[in-house]
Amino acid sequence: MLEQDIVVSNKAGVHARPSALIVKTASQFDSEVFLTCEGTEVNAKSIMSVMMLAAAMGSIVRIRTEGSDEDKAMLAIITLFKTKFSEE
Amino acid sequence: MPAKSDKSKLKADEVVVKGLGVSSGIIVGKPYVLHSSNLKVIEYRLEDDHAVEDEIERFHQALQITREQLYHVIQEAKAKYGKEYSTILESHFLILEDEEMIRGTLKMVKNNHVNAESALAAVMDKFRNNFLKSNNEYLRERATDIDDVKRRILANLLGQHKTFTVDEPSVIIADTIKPSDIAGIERSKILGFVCESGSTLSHFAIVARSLNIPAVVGIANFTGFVADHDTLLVDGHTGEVIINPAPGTIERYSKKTREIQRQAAELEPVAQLPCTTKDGREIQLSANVELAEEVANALKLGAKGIGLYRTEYMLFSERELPDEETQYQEYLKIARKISPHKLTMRTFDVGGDKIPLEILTTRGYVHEDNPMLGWRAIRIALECPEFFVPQIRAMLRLSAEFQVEIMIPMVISVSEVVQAKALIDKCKNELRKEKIPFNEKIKVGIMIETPGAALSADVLAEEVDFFSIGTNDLVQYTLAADRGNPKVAQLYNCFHPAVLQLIHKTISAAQKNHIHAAMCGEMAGNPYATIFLLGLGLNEFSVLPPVLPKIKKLIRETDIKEAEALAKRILNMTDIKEIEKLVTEVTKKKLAS
Repeated sequence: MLEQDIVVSNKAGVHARPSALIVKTASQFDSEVFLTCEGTEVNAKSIMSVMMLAAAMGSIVRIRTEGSDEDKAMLAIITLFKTKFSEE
Repeated sequence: MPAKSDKSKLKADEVVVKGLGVSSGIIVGKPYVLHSSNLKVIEYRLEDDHAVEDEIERFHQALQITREQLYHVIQEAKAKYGKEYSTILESHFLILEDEEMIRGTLKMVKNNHVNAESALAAVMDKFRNNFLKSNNEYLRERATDIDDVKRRILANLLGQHKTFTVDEPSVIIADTIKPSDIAGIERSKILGFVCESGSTLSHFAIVARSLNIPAVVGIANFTGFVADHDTLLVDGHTGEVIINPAPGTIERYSKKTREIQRQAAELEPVAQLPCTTKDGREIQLSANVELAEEVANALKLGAKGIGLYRTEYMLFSERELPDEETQYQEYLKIARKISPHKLTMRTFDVGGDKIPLEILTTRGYVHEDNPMLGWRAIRIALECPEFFVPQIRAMLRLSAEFQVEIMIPMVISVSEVVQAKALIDKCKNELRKEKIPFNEKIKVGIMIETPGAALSADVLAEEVDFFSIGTNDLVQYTLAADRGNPKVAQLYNCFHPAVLQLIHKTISAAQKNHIHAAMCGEMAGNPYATIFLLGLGLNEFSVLPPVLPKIKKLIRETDIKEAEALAKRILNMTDIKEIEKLVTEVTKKKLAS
């Protein structure tokens, strides 16, 4: 199991398009991927859950991956956040 | 549908539900559910692990079908509307693939032993409600997307389709069936009807009887209950519908079918005998039809003409009024089939309970709280000549070669008849000028289907060549009882003394003025009314094809003098129950002989 915290750095926060990107990316891996924000943990392969998380700019999101390809999954999701979901 | 949930039955088991049979006959077939805007989800329990496994498989299949459908929709949307719109639909794809939604549904099916529909609905509704509670307006808006996806999956779980393209002969299932719903379905694809609402006199019930197709109404929530893969046995006589009947049940019912066929075969020889009373009075026996395909069967069963040809069906499948030539060609089909016998054609009886809205809205139709007392039939015709004139011209042209009569519905006063006749004369003049042949002496008659018309029968008789009594509307207008409302349907009774008086008055007025008196309402085909109507002096019975032999047998067994005595006696009676008892006795005796 891997865990890493990251700050939401894009202005709009994790809204519809970033949520879709997270879900699409997470779904490519066998590992389970979870996001936690303000005490709520959600399945990153569930669009309805990720969208409800509605993580705003500046909030901290904990990413947790667990499974055979957990390191690859972690890297992919971190990259999404770091590149501000290619939005800015 | 209590039978199912109470007994926690599995779908594979036989389930019997009971409604009201409105068209007899027995059929076994696959259901076709007409898309209802409100998908009803019914919860039922799965009995064992095996059933749970099947249910999980069923859910996965529904997801797969939904995926494929959505994929095609997205491709189409991309091509038609561009990327913007397809992006919205792509978000639907993500909802469809939502792991929590899928896991949550499967968990509920496994742990709670409930069907996939109810589990899915519960899970999706929870998500949707969270979105609705959000402070974020954008998220609140997404609740609609969740609902949309839920409906797509549910529709596949319940086996419902969006368009009414019935490929295989099926039992048509719906919550309500409007005439326009079945207008697009090929008749050979309809094995039967099961409808949640409706009554004996619903349009589809009338069509079902004329085509000899079993129909059952009044089974609550039936559409939410039946899936594509179910097999249905429909008994239109008892009103029983059996879902997934056991082989033994099917065998029992086919025995019953054979018995009904045997009885029909017994009456068959009557079909070719003349339709005269015992003392030799000739009675015209004709059929009510809507479609040219029905004529062959009517002739086989002994019809000597068509007493009511309903033309409205031409409007149900059209967005615009069919032009004169289109109508002429359509009418020609039926005229050829019934020739040399007469064809009584009723002008468009639109409005009321049979509104093809698209055509009327463009002509100033306003919403009616009470459509049965609203803008319909001749009232539309006189105000919008484009409804009347092309149809009359088509009918007149037909009369050059065929024995055609024009019949006008929903008359309440003489002035309407005078106006309609003036329009017909105008059409005749035009045709003369255009040197188009027609029968100068074409008969023009009216339906007597309002108390107003029946009570004005004396004056109306001076204006027309024949009357045809439409009892369906006459009874409901006289007794103020809606034929489609189960709460008051029992008040609707053609043996009510007031109705009998109006019929008596109508036929007497016809006799005094030496015009033809016909009846084309359902009462004409009610064997218990036959002798009474003969006694009043009715000249023509126009009935649904399947009852032709029975009515003819009754006519052949009756002596006019005896019928007159019975009619006189009944007209003096005041109690419906007594009247029904008397006619039942007399009729049963005749049919047994």
